[in-house]
Amino acid sequence: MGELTPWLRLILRRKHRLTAGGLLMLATLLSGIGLLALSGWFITATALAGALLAAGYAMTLDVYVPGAGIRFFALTRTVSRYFERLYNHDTVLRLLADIRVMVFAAMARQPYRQQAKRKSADWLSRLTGDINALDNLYLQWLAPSAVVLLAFSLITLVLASVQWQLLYALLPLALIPPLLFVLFKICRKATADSQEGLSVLRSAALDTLSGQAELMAARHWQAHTDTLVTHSHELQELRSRVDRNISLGQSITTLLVQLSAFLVLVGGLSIWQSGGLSGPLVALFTLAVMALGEGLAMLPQAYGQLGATLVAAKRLNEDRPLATAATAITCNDSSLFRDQTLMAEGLSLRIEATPLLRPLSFRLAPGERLAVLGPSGSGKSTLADLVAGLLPDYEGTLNTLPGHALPSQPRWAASISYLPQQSWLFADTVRANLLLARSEADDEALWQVLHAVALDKVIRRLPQGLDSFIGEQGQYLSGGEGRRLALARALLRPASLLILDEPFTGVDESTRALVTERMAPYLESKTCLFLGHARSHLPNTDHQLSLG
Amino acid sequence: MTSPAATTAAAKVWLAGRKAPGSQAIRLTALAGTGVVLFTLVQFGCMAWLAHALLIAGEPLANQLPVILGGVLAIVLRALCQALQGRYAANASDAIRNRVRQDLVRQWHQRGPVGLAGVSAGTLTTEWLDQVDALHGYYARFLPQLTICMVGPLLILLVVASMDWLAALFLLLSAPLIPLFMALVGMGAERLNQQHMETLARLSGLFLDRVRGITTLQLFGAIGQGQRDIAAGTEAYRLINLKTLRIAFLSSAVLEFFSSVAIAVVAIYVGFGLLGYIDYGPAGELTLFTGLFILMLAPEFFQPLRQLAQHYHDRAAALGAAAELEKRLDEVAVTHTIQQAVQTSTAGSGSAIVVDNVSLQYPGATNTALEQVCLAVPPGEMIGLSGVSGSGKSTLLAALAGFISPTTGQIRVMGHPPGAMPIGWLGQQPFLKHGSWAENLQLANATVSESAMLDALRQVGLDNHVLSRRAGLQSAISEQGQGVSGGQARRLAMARLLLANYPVVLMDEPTAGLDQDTEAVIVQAIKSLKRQGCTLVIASHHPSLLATCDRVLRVQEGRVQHG
Repeated sequence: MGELTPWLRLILRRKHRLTAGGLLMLATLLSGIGLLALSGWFITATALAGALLAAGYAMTLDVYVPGAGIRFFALTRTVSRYFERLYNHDTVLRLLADIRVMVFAAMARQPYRQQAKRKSADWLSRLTGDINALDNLYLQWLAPSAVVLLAFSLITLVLASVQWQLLYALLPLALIPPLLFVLFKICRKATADSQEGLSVLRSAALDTLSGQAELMAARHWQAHTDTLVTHSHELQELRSRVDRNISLGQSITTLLVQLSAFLVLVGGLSIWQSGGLSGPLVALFTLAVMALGEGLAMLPQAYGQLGATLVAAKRLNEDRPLATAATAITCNDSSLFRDQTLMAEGLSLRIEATPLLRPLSFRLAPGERLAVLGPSGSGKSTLADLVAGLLPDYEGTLNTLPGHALPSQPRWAASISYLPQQSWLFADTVRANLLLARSEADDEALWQVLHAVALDKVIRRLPQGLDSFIGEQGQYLSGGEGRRLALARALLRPASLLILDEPFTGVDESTRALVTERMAPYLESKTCLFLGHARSHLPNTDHQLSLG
Repeated sequence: MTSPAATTAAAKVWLAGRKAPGSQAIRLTALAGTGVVLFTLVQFGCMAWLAHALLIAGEPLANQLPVILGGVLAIVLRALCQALQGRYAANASDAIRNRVRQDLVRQWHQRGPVGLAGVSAGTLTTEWLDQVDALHGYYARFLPQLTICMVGPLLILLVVASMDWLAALFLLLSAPLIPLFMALVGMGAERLNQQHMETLARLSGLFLDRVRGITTLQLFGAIGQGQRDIAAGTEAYRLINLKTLRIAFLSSAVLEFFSSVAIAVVAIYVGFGLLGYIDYGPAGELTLFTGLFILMLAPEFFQPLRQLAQHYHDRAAALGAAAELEKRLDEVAVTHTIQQAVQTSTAGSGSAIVVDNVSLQYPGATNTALEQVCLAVPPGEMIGLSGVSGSGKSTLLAALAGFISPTTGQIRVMGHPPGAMPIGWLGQQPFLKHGSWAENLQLANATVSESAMLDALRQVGLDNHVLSRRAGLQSAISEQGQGVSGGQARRLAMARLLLANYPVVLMDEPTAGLDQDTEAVIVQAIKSLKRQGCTLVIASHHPSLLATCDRVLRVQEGRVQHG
């Protein structure tokens, strides 16, 4: 259960909302209990009074107060139920925002190399699922448990104050918490296994379908799809086992609640015979216990599935060490690197003995431009990542001051502008994508840089100009246009060191020439590192270095 | 264009048509659910009887032992029926889902890689796993509950009517109003939801978008901005959702309202009746037994409907899935028929591949993809197919592999119909298994030795890469989240071909999209395959690869030009 601690702490930050939502939930349950219990009291009381009246006794029974009470509870039950659902769903959506921000902040503190796997669709859908499991923690588990416990305590207290000898009739209800705990224990492994099983089956299905041509030609297709079908049967069976356990838990809960109500009735009647309890009160407590069952009925499902939530929490904890500080450090001082020389001596990088970059040395004085050329796989992009400070585990030296390492990440990032080989465009407007680079830039500056990359005409033609939405991964732009927008963003950034890795991917030759000419003012007074597979695909430089 | 209503109707028909393998379990689920209602009735009857017998009739508790035992028995049987209902429901859709999954697999097979070319593996996987699973709630919960909704309330109504027809009338009158109000409210919510569909889709994608671009945000020192975007996007998402929920929750409020009002009305009517304040109708004959019994039954009358409302989203999910699955399963599969019968042909017995006057037309296409193609390839020959894209090269390869059948003419591969015996295939997307290097290499031939695997890896220049891993051949092909690059995947597939000893290997653009190093490795490996005596047919644009072929045939508008 320890895996929930950071998340519970996060959820509990919204104390007031949680309390208000819980109180609404309690009001709904108590209204339901009040409605049935008071009705039962009323009918029994009137039946007894009617019998006395029929027998000729004179007596009065106030029918208006209980009648009004019954109408009151009927109304509050409906109204509080409606507002409870609305308010608590609102809370869940607010918690979703909290959880997302926390997960994102934790991910941002992770080393770059671990970020690579975030590209896989499988990983992303799992992240979404895990977060959803957590944002339901409050509504499905935390709040109902607390509310039912409170309502149960209330009934116990009232019964104890009226007739404590009947308290034994509530004993079956006391068995429900251990039952729920056992249910959680039994289902825990199976829910975790079925989650894992689904993930494995998904990637196996993806592999098989992606390799269909090869598998069919080799006549392995049948065997592979048969395995998929067998595994899907096994997974189905695992999930039904959880379902069966949960429904068993639900039926035992029903059994205990109804037995308790029955016991209250029979025990209450026998106490009534000895004069210790009035007839209408027997009916009241019986129906109160039955109405409490409504709140209890949801719990077995919540506890049976709790294992899945724990797995989700555990995975989120493992993937992202959750530090205490939730705010990211930012640095806007771009002058750090100005007038300094970038020096690399025997710089190399290997991962698990696989060399990604063979040792190399260079010096880059202020305002100088260096082109690094090499075929794909020669380590160009690794070098670019190294200089951008994304890969700290290199060998050799890389620094701006002899004897020191590169400044730490947020400070170093503030003085460089880096266009990686695979740039990312956000699903947002043209303006928002550009302003990332320089938040204070005005429209004129934006149009200017768009002109430099020959995108101004394209963007002006869009109905909303700078405020046009460019789609997910910039899909409303062509590949070359998207690349140039990313280039514009890199140029716009006020930085002392500019790193461009294959800046013209997907850009045709005439546009390339035009952009090279127009971007010249943006390169002035900047130290530049360009990387590409051919000289002709890069702007002019003072020096060049060949890799591989 | 089909209207949403027509789509829903079609989806319903499809769901009904698929029900058969599970109908027994669905019936049993509904039966057990009806049992719950029945025994609840008995339990409440016993309880009301006990209260009446003691409080009004003044009988001693000891005389009521049979009723007490009857009540306890009813409670036990009620719980038992509930457990059975859950038990049957858990497996109710197993057979149905298995059948749909198998049908989908059969459909993949029949359409083959050519027929499925336009659909991503991700889409097919989602259909096969998630969409099929979305059917479960419909068969296991919604359908049985629909039956229970018809039987349960009717049963309760009859019992109430037998005691007091006026109270039964209250219940009867409120019941048909409920679905009406719920439908009205539901329609409102749906319309509101459709208005915001696009914004909602954009906002729900925003979080993953920022997660995927996290490095970019870091480089621009804009992590804070990313956090603000996520918070603001989720906030906007919340506000729009609340607008819909405000109306959607009204439908459950309607149910609550009727069930609360029914209890209140019944309680006050019964109470006043018992006091003798009501002197028309059956009210004069009310007793504590009938009064208490009717009161306890009033909420139960609405209970099945409330549960049905909870399962309504199961129905919506299943209808959505059904529409997708129906589309996939109904697609015409005429592109591929695999010949299972292995018959030896005498024609061209000296050749590895014989194509005899083959023409091929895709279903629905106006022009032919292949036009009277004749070809004979002797064993061990390496044939290149050149031509612009769309000329028919890939179609010819697919026909040789048996992925599609010729409209006229005949093909023989090693004397058998295409697809009848294993051959090698190398496309641009090789098969990769989530597993070790060894598992991937042993795919065609499980008995291949470790040294042979290392040798094959050496030939494609992957030996150092694999040996540098801690577990060597047993290490996973993708580790620490670092996948296999496109070039590595192609090298791995090539190594597998070297180990497999296929008599015939077909290659579709084996060097497309590769860097120069990998390209050279692949060309070398193709030469080794040829040295092994393998017959090769290679479709390619690559001049130096075509130059190593024994013969190059130009394919143009579906015709093969020899020479």
